[in-house]
Amino acid sequence: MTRPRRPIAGGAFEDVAGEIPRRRWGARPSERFLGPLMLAPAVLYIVLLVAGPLVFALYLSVSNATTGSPTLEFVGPANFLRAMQSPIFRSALTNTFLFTIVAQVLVMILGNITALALQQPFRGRSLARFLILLPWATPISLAAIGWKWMFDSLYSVVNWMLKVAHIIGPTDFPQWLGVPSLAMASVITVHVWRTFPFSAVVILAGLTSIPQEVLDAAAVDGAGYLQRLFHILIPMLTPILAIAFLFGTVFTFTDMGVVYILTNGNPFNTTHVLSSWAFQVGIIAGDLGQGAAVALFLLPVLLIGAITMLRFASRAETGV
Amino acid sequence: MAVAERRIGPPLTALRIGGRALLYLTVVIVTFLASFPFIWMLITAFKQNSDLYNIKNNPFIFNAPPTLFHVQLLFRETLFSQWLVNTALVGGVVVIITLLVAVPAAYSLVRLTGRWGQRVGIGIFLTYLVPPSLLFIPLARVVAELSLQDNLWALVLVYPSFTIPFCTWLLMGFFKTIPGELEEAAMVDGCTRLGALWRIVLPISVAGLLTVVIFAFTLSMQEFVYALTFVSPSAQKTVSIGVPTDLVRGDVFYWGSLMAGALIASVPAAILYSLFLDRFIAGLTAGALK
Amino acid sequence: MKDEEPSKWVRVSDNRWRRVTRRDLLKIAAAGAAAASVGPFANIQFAFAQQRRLTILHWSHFVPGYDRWFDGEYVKEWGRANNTEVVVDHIPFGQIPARAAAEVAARSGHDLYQHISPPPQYEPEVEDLTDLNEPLIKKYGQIELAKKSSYNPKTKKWFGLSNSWVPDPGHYRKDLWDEAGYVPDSWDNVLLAGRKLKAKGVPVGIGIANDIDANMVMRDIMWSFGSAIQNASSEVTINNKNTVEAIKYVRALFKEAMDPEVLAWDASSNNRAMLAGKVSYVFNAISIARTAEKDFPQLSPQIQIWKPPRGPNNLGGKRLGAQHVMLVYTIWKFLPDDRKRLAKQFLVDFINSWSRAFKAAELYEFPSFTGTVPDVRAQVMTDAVAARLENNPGKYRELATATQWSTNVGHPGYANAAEGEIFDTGILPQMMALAATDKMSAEDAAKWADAQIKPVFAKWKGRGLM
Repeated sequence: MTRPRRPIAGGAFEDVAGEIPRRRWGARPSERFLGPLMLAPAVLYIVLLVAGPLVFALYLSVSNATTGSPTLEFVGPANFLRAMQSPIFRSALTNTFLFTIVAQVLVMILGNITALALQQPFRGRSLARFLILLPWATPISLAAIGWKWMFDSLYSVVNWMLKVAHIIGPTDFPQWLGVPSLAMASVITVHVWRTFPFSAVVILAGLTSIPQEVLDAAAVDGAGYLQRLFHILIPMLTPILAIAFLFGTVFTFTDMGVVYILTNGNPFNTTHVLSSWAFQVGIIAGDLGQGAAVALFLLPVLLIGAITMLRFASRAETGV
Repeated sequence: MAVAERRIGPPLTALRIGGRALLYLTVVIVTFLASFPFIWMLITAFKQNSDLYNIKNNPFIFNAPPTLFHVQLLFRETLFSQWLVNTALVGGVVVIITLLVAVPAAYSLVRLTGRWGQRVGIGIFLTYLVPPSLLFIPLARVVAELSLQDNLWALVLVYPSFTIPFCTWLLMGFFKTIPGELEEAAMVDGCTRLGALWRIVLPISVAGLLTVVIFAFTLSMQEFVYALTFVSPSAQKTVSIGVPTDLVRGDVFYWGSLMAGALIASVPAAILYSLFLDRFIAGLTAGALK
Repeated sequence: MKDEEPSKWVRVSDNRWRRVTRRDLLKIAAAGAAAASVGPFANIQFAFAQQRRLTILHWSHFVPGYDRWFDGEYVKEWGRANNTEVVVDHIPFGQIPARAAAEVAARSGHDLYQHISPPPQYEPEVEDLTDLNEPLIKKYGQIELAKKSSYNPKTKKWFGLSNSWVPDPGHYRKDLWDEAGYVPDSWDNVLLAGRKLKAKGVPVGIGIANDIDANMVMRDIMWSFGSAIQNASSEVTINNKNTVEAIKYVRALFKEAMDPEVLAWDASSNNRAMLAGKVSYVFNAISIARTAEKDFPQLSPQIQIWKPPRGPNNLGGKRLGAQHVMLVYTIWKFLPDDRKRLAKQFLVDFINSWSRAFKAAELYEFPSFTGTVPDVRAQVMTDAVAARLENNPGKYRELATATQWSTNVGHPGYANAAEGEIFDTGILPQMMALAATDKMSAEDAAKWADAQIKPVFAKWKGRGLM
């Protein structure tokens, strides 16, 4: 059941090329209130615990609130302007995009490879599946602490392994958390490590829905493995790849935990992302208004990105 | 073997052996990348401190005899077992709440609300994108007003605010793939709409429901900003915040116990997920493609 | 009267208290069970059920023994004596601001909130503790850095009560420094010895990152070169040639005597580096020395303590080191009056018994009210562990003079909200790092810091707190 289908006479179903025929199964007049009623608890939850607080956060961002003071005075866009003037904010903005995009591209590649591999039967597949799922099952705070030690300036397990594999020399000891470029790479690594199992599973799900006949037909026509991969499989997988990309992007873009625990913005505030910098400014340093302003920069971007992805996903699947 | 074996084409013998080797190599590399931190954590949890803090030592073997000291510290000096129970409890109740709220909502958006339902669905998903680091201040007020401050139930109240949007959208996609005839037929036979939902749709959707369960549980187990803000008594903490609190004292990290804690918290969840993986994939296949 | 039997005061009604012994209690309980109304005793059972409650929020202390003493012994004793159930919660020290912000937003929280750095930004929301501080100062005397960390001279309000603070001396590898032929008594020596020691593979270990250790030492260096972020009247004074000299010094130290890893350090990195034998000089509270005693006994005798170094142009003419941790309690204004009273009473009793806390903290914490531990020097000079391990009971002797060389964040002014924000956003280490890694010249780095700092001061002044 991977394509929308419509029943036709004779008890069969036919594919629907375009819209999802919802109207056929719409609400009956007697059920006019049932729909909204069933929707109500969810809407209530969201209004009370997300929308309401969000409006308050919006208000904070145009006020001079601090963590220590109850009085709020309206200051207009001052917080946003001041935030944009801060060089740390600008680097946080860039980093947020950079980390997310690079991490997700890597996740897509790694996730695809993993999914293709896990699809085949082989001995020990259950064990492999379990091990591959572990990064996703770990609470992020604990995983990040573990990685912090693995990148440690003295005891780094990563460096030890690189030395043993003769990838780095005996006197080299890259400071994974001490040099801006390496620190960024470390943050990206942890994001990739944490998210790729989940993407692999999503892609694996997509793979299982590709009809085998199409692939076999192509093989019979003489297409090689890579050709089949790139010209048939990946195009057919596009909607699911888009979904996996979207999910992963959302997790990474808004995430504060990895940066906060792993580097806390170090070296000298070069690895902050918007959410961790917002936390630092708003909560740790006490300027709540500015912290809210910084965090709110996430929203428009996410909205645009998410809507784009969703449109892309639905268009791709219907073959437009 | 519920995960179907898809081959990218009919195998040729020579290619098959080469392909097989490549497959195993890929699997080994990927599995290693995912799991070497855990192997290292496992060893570290049992290493003596003098072994652990010696730069020259191989981190993957026991240079001094292994010790149970860190694990004992974890269980005796901290309330780790309580935190595990708390985490499981919060996760479980959040899952139930999510199911109870998201299932009717998703069904309603797909069947009963027409065109604007799709838009509301996307809108609901988008609220997931609002980060906790922004919301936790106003939510602290809400929690205090309800006298739930420093209580585990504050987390149970707040976590569905991000699991519900996500899972509603997921379920919507899944329900769309179920042809409406089944419910129509049942209702023609005298069933109510809700009865149709309960008796027809849900049994088919077990995979989708399982997806929701796994997502909601993962999201609530991982969460740490709200857990930090709303709960400070040790007995009410979850693993995600309890372990860093008690095992990081000032500038001293109790690495052995930290790693033991990380492992014990993750392994059961990973086992559960991998058991459900087949069902989970079936759920995602149908749900996500729409 | 039944003086020979232990008895307690029991609240019979809102303003009547009666002395009751255990025998009385049993009688009452029996009577209460037998008869519905027993006159003035009718409320006693309720009184016991409505025991008062006091909630305290603490960090997870570096010294686990302190938490065991405080949570397990002291508060239980005090609770019994005051018919109160005392609950102590712990959070990681890095989360203290987050939790405070949440409690303010929620208008509900712990009765006593412990901060580990001065909390002036909460002034609008906390009780004025003048009525606690002034009598205690009269009785015990107070060190200046404690006053500057808990008092606002502009509003004349005591926003907190500081029970203790933690000095931040230098730890050095005596064996290596002896070989190099120096003691870490001046910043010049640190650079000279550091060059030699780096060549030997044991460089200096001073972080230049956004964390508590680095922030403190960068301030030490600034003061040693005659500069500071603000002056005593809270005016920004950072952009001057002394700052430029300080930045140049740090750049030289970084390039010639340290490894680039220090840019990534957090509060625990210098501990690990020192204990692994990888660095020869760090600044820290005595947690390093104590950990060495416990886990690295062979190394422990080589690690010795020294005062913060002199600089070429010490501000105020004497050497200065920032305090490492400043323990200040605040009481939220929005709590009910009876809880605030109880919290205040706890604080007063605690300060009066503080000599016991001093012992439990194993020389990590020093008294803010000097008279609470009259024999500080004697206790410092006779440390039992150091005596046992290396026959050196005076190992921690430098701490005996700590009040002379320690000062608050914000010196020569007060620890105000602007200084707090500058500290928490790591401006000073970032300024140093930008120059040390040649991203900016020293002059530009000072200008850059000035540009970051001035708006913060303006903002907090605008709120009337400075």
